[in-house]
Amino acid sequence: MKIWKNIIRIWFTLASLSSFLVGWVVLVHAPKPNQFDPASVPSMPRLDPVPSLDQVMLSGQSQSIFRANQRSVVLRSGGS
Amino acid sequence: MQIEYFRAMNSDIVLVAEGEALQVKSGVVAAQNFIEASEKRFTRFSEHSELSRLNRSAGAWFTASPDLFEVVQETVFYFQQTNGLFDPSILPSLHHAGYIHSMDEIRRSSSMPQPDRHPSVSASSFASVELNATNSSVRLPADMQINLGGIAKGWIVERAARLLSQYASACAVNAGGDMFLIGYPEGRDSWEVGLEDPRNPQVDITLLLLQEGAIATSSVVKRAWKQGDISRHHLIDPRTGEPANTSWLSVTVLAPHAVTAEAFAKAFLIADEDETQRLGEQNPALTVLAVDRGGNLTNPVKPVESLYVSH
Repeated sequence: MKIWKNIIRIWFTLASLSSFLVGWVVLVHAPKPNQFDPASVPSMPRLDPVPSLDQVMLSGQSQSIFRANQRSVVLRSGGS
Repeated sequence: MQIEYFRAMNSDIVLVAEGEALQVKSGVVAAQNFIEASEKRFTRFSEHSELSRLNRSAGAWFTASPDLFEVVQETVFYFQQTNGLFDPSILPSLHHAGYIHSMDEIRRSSSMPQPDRHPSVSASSFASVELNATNSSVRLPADMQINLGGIAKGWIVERAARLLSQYASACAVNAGGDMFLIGYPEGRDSWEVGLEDPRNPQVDITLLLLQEGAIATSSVVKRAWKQGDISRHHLIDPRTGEPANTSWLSVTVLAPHAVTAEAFAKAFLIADEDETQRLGEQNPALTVLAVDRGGNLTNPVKPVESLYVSH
């Protein structure tokens, strides 16, 4: 019985040590994160002010005869 | 860029204008007021409109306002230019087909429009309308009733855009797809206009890059309804007095003026193959785009120059 206890202790010890060493090796060979360089961050696009909810509701904007984004307005012709 | 949306002339109206904010705001108000006042003048759905009074006075001389006189003058001109295919004297035919109330009312109502008892075609030709420019008066033949719907809309759109342009560096007025463009948005040399797919109105069939001027589309699917089991639409063929039996779902015309685009969009939609070629030869400055029943975009007259951005 005592022999089995010792075997299990040794097995746990070896398994823990080998797992630690495998983890160490994996981390050592993993790609490193890049150093943060503020100059490498692209400048954020300047956005037009968002219209207030009231403005949108009062204008009742329809997608049916125009589409608008920050870049341009696309009018639509579908017939009458 | 300021965008104003409202509903008038049974259409969605969009005013787009660029410039100094307060100026543009004043221009938008002026243009909107002009559109709403003009609608009251030209609508056939109000018995108090000037157009309804003109129709009631058929057979006698009617002294018209300068605006109504100008629109009737334009109408006579385009009746001649389209060889009679654009004909506003089809009002009895519209009534006969059930288009008695505005589309907004028809859509709100659950009942189908029924034909009235009027004959479907006037005996008199629109060519017999008389105009007297010295006192702005008009005489319709006694049996004639006219509808200025589309051409009046075109006239209003261009006038409203010219009014708005006095307050803005660039502007566009779009009334249900009939539009007039003045100047260009900042940093651009054209306006982007999506051409709606008549089979799937949420999708654009192509995107056009347009210069200043007008674009108008006539479509058999926009103002359409059922009369019993029969599908009807508002584009009447003046030769038959019935909704046009056409191979096109929609026809779009680009022209220097909105009334031109509007009149020819209707004419090309109604025209048969020979008439289409004749109209095209007589009016080489127009660009015509048509969508057939298969959803194919074509030019029935001549190849289109570099208008397409994408399909």
